Order: sequence, then C-alpha cells, then structure tokens
Amino acid sequence: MDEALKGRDLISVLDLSGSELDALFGIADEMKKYAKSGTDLLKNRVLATLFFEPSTRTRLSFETAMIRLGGNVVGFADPSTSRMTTGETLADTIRMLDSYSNVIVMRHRIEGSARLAAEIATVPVLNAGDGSQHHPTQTLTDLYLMRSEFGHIDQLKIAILGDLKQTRSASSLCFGVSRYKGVKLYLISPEPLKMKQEVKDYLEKSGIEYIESTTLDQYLGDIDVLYVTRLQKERFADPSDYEKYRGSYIVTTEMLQRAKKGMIVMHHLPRIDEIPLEIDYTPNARYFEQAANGLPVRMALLSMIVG
Amino acid sequence: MSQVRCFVVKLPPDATPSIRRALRILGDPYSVKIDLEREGMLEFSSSSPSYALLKISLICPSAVIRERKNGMEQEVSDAFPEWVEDTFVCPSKNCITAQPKEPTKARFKVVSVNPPKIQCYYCGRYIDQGALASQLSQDSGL
Ligand SMILES: [Zn+2]
Repeated sequence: MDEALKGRDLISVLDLSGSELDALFGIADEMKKYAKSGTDLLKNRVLATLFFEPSTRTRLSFETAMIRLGGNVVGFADPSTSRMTTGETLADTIRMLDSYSNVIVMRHRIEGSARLAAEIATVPVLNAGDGSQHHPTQTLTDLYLMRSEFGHIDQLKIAILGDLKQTRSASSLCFGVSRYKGVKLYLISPEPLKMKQEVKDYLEKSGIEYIESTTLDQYLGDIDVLYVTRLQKERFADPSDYEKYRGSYIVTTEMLQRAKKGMIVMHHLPRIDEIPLEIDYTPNARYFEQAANGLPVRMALLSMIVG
Repeated sequence: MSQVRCFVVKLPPDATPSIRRALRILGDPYSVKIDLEREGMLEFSSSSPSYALLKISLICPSAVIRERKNGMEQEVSDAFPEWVEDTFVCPSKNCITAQPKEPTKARFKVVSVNPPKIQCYYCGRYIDQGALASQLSQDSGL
C-alpha cells in the first residue's frame, strides 16, 4: 500500500499532487474487486462521520467504503443532533470525535470549517463538502470516471454547466483539473451565477485555459465532457432570472445529437430537472457510473490515509 | 540585535482615518514605535518593519513610504510578507472566522498589495480594496 497519504488531511483536492492522484486511482481500480466482497484492511478502525449538513450520497458512500474495508462507523447524519441545537462548538465536537476515531469525515455549511477541524483533530480529517468551494472526494470520483472513460485526463475539454458560483463540485473540479496538462474548461452559466473570481484566478495561475459563456451550443462539437450541475430557483436574487435562464441549462437529446462523438454527460447528483429521464438511456449518460465510482474511490482514499 | 530603522509615511490629505487605524495596528506585536504623527504624515521606527509596511500599504495604497537613513530619505525595497494575521476581518458571514465561539485566528494570504487584495485562509474569499476600505469606514474597533 502506498504510504504517501498516510495520516494526511484532505480539505481541498489541491492537497493532492498529480502523482498522488494517479496512485489513488490505481488503488481505486484494485478496490473495485472488494466493493461487494469486502476486505479486512481497516479492521478495528473507526470512521467518524459528522454531517452538519444533510447528505445522502456522500455519507452512504463513505460509510459503505469503511464497512467494506472491515472498519466501523460512528457519527451523526442529522443536523438536529449537532451543535445547532446543543450550542456546542465545532471545535468541541471535533475534540470528542478525535478521541473515538481513526479518521473524521465531515460536511458543514460554514466555509473553512473542515480546515479548522483539521487544525484541532489529531486524526486525519476528510472534507465531505464545506461551503461553496471544496468537495475533494466528489472531484476524485469525477476525475476517476474521466480517467476510466478516456484513459487520460490531460487534454480533455470539459464544460461545466449551471450554477458555477455556488456549486462546490464545480469549483472543486476546476481545482482538480489543474493537476493535469492541456485541459480546457468551458464555464457555462447564467451571468449572475458565474464562477468565482478566486477560482478563475487560480486557473489562470495554473495555466488552465478556460472560456466563460452563458450558452453551451457553440461548444457542443468540441467538448469531451459535459458536467451538469443544478440550477436552483432560490439561488437567483431575481426569481424572473430563473425563468429566463432555466431552459438553456437543461440537457436535451437534440443537444446530444449535435455533440462531439463520444461526449459523456456527468452530474454530481441528485438532479432536479436539468437532466430529463430520457437522457438516462442515451450512450452519453455516465452519471450513474460516476456515482457508483464513489465507493472504490473512497475505499482507496480511506485505505491510503488510515491503512 | 537587529538595527532600528526609521520610516516616513506620507498619506493623502483625506487619509486621517487611515492614519488612526494605522496607529492602532502598528502596536507592540510588530515592535513598531510611532515617532511623529500629524495630518498627512506619520513617522515610525522598528527593527522588524515588514508587517507595518505591508499593513500601511494595504490600508492606504496611495501612501508614499520612504526610509530615513543618514538624514536622507530613500525608497523602501523590503519584500512584503506572504501572510497577514488578525488586523482584517473576513467579510463572509459564512466563514468559520465569523463564528464567534470557534477558535480561529483570521489569516490572509497577500494576493496583491497594489491594488490591495488578500485572501482568507479559511474560506478562500478575496477581500479587495473596497471591502478593506469599508472595514475602515465602519471603524470596526480592531
Ligand atoms: Zn473567510
């Protein structure tokens, strides 16, 4: 087992180098064998899950990963059992869980909370999403799918569609692709929901080429990956903007017919109506595989960090 | 023991609140001694002035800072520190540093000095000239 990640925190996908990502994906390939049968690699180890913000997919995926690795899980999934009602600070909650567990996975609405947790905890902290910037394990899952699909991530042309301002999977993916060469990003969003300047500056600094646009149509023939995010009405300051934009951010079969051959459609799920059901039956749909990959990827991560 | 250096800061005429603020932040932690303060002008001395130089530059980018050496004023060529702690507040209500009971210490990466732009270590948000200026005008008591 690769020792490089042992004991490390994962707050941002940028905590991992390109070669560490490669190593992790290699182990994820191995873990696919144990995704159903299980191993005892992390026997007697305890994962603490702290979900201050509701999550089904990420939490279940982490918990299943730990159980398949032979470990145990403690924690809470219901924000009402957390400090929001008891008034306990995050710092105190972390100190308690730190003494019970070998690794902590947390999600919190407050930005920077995972960083604080990592400063306090002596065991590794894995960020399962904080605020609107970081969601490293989602990005690992996303990159792993692209690698499996195309055999490489370098040189891919990736469009990210929807609410780029507040979707942490979107900004996290931007950080993640900066570890690869020649990737080109197409950031497609309504004007009020454009990608944060902080993230765009990072892309520039990292030499990642990107285009910003409010429409996808003109790029359909170029892109290899269409990464779709939710467009939520409550995210618009002006509700009439939602009605105005919403139609342009729904994937249609007609669009897929005009797309580059082999283009895949990804989504971090759950979806609302931005990917209609009929898309599920097209050869482009990959979001269910993407979600399923979360298990071997998180098994690989846990085994490398805790093992 | 490193040498004490003297600096002369010329501030724009409307920068009186900035001077006051500068005075407040140029205290003990950075071993800065204010030698002279009057309208549009500040003189200070320090053996480790890099933080003071950075903070004055962030607060008042149009300030002209010169070093007094052997009775002559000359340009300052010190490199700015990469990080600045305390002093500023992250404007995001959704940032962990805005949670009063959590044990965090505001910490910012200096992205650019002119124009002033710093980035919160915890939430990654920029605090630009406008936000820094509004912290000054609110006189947040820091
Ligand atoms: Zn902040």
